[in-house]
Amino acid sequence: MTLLADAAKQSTEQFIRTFDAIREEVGKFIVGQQQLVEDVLMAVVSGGHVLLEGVPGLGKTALVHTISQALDLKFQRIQFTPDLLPADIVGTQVLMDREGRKTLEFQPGPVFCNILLADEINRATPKTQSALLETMQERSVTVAGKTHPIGTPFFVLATQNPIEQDGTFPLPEAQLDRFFFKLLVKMPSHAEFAKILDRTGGNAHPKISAVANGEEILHMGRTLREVPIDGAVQDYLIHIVRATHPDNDDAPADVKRLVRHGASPRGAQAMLAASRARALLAGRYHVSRDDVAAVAIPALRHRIILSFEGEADGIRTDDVLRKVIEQLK
Amino acid sequence: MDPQPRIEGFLRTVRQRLNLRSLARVSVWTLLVVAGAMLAIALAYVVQGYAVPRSWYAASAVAGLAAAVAGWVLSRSSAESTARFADRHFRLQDTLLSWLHFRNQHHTDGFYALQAEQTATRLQPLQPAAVSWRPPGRIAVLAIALATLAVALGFKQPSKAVLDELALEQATLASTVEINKDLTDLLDELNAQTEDKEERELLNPDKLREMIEALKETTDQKEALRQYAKLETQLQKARTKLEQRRDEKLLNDAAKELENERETKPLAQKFAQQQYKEAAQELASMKPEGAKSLSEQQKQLARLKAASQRMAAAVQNQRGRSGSSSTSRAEKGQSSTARSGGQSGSSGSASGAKGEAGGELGQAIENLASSVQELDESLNKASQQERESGKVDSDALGECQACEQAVEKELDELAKYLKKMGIKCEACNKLAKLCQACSECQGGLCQSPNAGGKKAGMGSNTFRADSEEELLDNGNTTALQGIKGQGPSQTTVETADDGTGTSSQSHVAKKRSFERQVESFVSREDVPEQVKSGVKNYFESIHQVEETP
Repeated sequence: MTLLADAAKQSTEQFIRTFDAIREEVGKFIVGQQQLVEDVLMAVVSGGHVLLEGVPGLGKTALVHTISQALDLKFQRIQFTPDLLPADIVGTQVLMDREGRKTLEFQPGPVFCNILLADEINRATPKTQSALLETMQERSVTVAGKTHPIGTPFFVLATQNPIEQDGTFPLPEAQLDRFFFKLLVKMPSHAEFAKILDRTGGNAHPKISAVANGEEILHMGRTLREVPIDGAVQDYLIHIVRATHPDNDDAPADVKRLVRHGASPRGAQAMLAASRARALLAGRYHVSRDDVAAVAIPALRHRIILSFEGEADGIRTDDVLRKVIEQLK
Repeated sequence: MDPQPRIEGFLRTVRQRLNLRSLARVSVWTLLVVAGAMLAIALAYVVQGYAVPRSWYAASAVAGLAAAVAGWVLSRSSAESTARFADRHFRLQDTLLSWLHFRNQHHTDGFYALQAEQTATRLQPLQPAAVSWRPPGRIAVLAIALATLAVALGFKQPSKAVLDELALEQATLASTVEINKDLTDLLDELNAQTEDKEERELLNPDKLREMIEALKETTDQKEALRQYAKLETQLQKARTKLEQRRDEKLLNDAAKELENERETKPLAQKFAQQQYKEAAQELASMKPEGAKSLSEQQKQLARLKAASQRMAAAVQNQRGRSGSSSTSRAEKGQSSTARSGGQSGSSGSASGAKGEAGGELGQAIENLASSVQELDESLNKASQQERESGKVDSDALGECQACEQAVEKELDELAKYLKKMGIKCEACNKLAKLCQACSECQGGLCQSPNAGGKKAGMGSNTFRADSEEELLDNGNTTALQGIKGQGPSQTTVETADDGTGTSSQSHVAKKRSFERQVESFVSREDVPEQVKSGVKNYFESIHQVEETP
C-alpha cells in the first residue's frame, strides 16, 4: 500500500472514530433519534448549517446544546422573537470613550462563535432572519461598510416550529437554500419516552464532555471531500436535482404539476458532501447511488417550492422527491 | 497483493455467465418467434389443404439462426454492463462499477487504492456461479411445443382437391405448351399455302405471328382460356373485316339464276362453290373474238349475254328486295329525324338504298349486261345489213368494235373484282381455320380430369322431394308492370261541374259504404294502430260536423 493510501486510511479511521465519539457523547443525553443525530453531525462535519423542524418540546434545542457540549467550540444561542433586530444578531457600532476621545467601535453580536443556535428562527421577522444571510454563506459580517470575518468552523443550527403554528414567519427562499439539511424531528417511541423520563426526571444529569475540537472538525471535512465518486453516480445525483425542475423534460409528471421551482446547484453540492460522509460512515471508499438517494430528501426538501396546485393539494416536498428518486432508480 | 487481477477475474467469470445466459435467452425467444411464425404459415397451408413446402422450414431455420446469432452479438454483455449487473445482483452498492471507472481513468492511489482493495475484499466470499444462465423455463417449453407442432404439420399430405388442382395446373401447362406449338405450326402451314401477294397482305401473317407468340405458357386454366378467347376475338375481328357477305349473297343469287340455263351452269356452280377466281376465268373465256364472222360472234355472245342478263336479273331482284326494306328503314329514319328536328333528308336514305342494292359488284354486272346488250344489238344490226346488202359498212363495223371493247372492259373489271373476292375469301377461310383451332383448344382446356361426370351407378341424389309441397302465395310471386300511357284503363275519372247538384245515391247507402270502408281499413293488420285511430277520429269528426247543424 502506498503512502497516500496509508494516509487516506488513517484519515478515514480518524473520521469514523471522531464521528462515533461525538455520536456516543451526544447519545448520553439524547435518547433515540439516531438518524437525526447522524444527519446533524454529517452536516456539521461537511461545514453546513442545519434547520431542525418540529413541534415544541421534542428536544431540538437540547440536541443542539448537547452537540455544542460534545464539541470544544464556542457556542452561542439566540432566541428569535418578533422584536429581535438584526443588530442584536450581527452586532453594532457603539460610541466608546477612549482616552477622552469618542469613537465608534464595533461590538460583535452573538453570531461571532463556532456553533450558533438560532432557536425558533421563524419567530423573528423576515428582516431579522435575513441578517443571517451573509453570515451563513460568507461566514463574515459587514457593519458600517466594514467586513468582520467569523472564525471557522462555523455552523448555524436553527430550530423552527411548523409553519402552521401561530406567530411564525416563513423563512425566505434564499435563506432556506443556505441550510445544508432540513431535518424533521419526530415524536419518540414508547421506549424512548421512558428513557427520556428516566434521564431527565431525576437530579442526576449525564455529563457531556468535549470529544472533538474545531481543527478535528475541519480535518474531517477535508477527509470526506477526498472520497471519490464515480461519474455514473454523480450523473445520477445531477439527474435527481434536475428532475426536481418542472421545466426539465425528464421531470416526472407530478413535478411538472406540483412544483414551481426546483432545487439549486447548492443543493447538489450539499447532496455530494453528505453522500461522501455517509459512504465513509458506512466504511466505503466510494459513493454509491444508495448514499445519494438517502441524503436527497433532507438535502432537497427545503429547496423545492411547490406550486399553488401543490400547496392546495397539501402535497409535501418529501413525497415529490420520493417519486423523483423512484423514477430515476 | 494486487486486487486488480482478482476483480477482473471475478468480472470475467460473471461476464461469461451473462453471455451464456444471453445466448440461452436469445435462442429460446428466437425459437419461440420462429416456431410461432412457422406454425402460422403451416396452419395457413394446411387449412387450405396444401402440404407445407419444405423450403419454408429451411428458410425459417436459417432466418432463426441468423436472428439468434445477431441477437446474441448485440446483447452480449460489456464490461460496464457486467459491473452494473454484478453490483445489482450481489448488492455491492456500485462498488464494481466505481472500481471499473476509476481503473479506466487510471486512478490508483490514495482513496482509489483503498477502494480497489475494499472491492476485492467484498468480492472474496461471492460466487460468480450464482449467476444463473438458464433460460426462462416456461418460454422454453412453449417454444419447443410450438416448434414440434409446426414440424408435425409439415408431414401432413395435401388434400385430394389440392392434388387434383395441381394435376390440373400441370395439365394446363402441358396443354398450353402444346396448343401454342400447334397454333404456330398451323400459322406456318397457312403461311406456306399463301403464295398470292395480295392475299398475304390481307392475311398479315406477321401480325398473326405476334399474336400467337404473345400467348403464355401458364398453369392457370382461367388465364389460359382468357388468352385463347382473346386471340379468337382478335382473329374474328380480322376475319370480319375481310367478310363480303353482300357480294357473296349477290353471286349466290346470280348462281341460282344461272342454274336455269345449261350454258351458264358451270359458272353457276363456281359461284355457288365460291370459286370466284375460277369464275373470273370462266367469264373471261366468254369474251367475244372480233376476228370471227358476225354469226360466230353472235353465237359466242349468246352465252355471255345469257350469263350477264341472268346476273343482272339477280342484281335487280336483290335491289328490289333491299329497296323495299331500305325504303321502310328510310321512312322510319325520316320520321325519327322529323321528331328530333334533324336536318338529314331523303338524299341520305336514297344513297343508302343505292349502296345497299348490289354495290360495286352489282354495278359492274349491270354495266356488263348493258354493254353486252349494246354489242348484241350492234351485231344484229350489222348482220341484218349484211343479209340485205351482202356487206357491212364501216360505220356498223366500227360500232360493233366499240361495243366489243366496252364489253371487254366491263368483263375485265368484273373478272378483276371476282378475283379479288376470291383472294379475300381464301384469306377469310384461313383466318376461320385459326379461329376454329383457337376455339378447339379452349374446348380442350375446359375438359377437366373429372370431366364426364361420375361413373355409371356412382351418382348421388342430394335432393329428394318426399311429399308434394304446395306453393304458397306470399304476394311476391308475380310482379305485374304496365306501360305508362299505353293500354286500356280500368278506371275512369269523372269531374263534376261546380255548383250544387242532386245525388243519385241515398244518404243511408253512402253512409253504409263509408262505414264499410272504415271497418275494412281498421280491421287490416298491416296498418299501424296510430294510423287506424287517426282514420277513426277523422270519420267521427265528419259525422259530428254533419250532426251539429
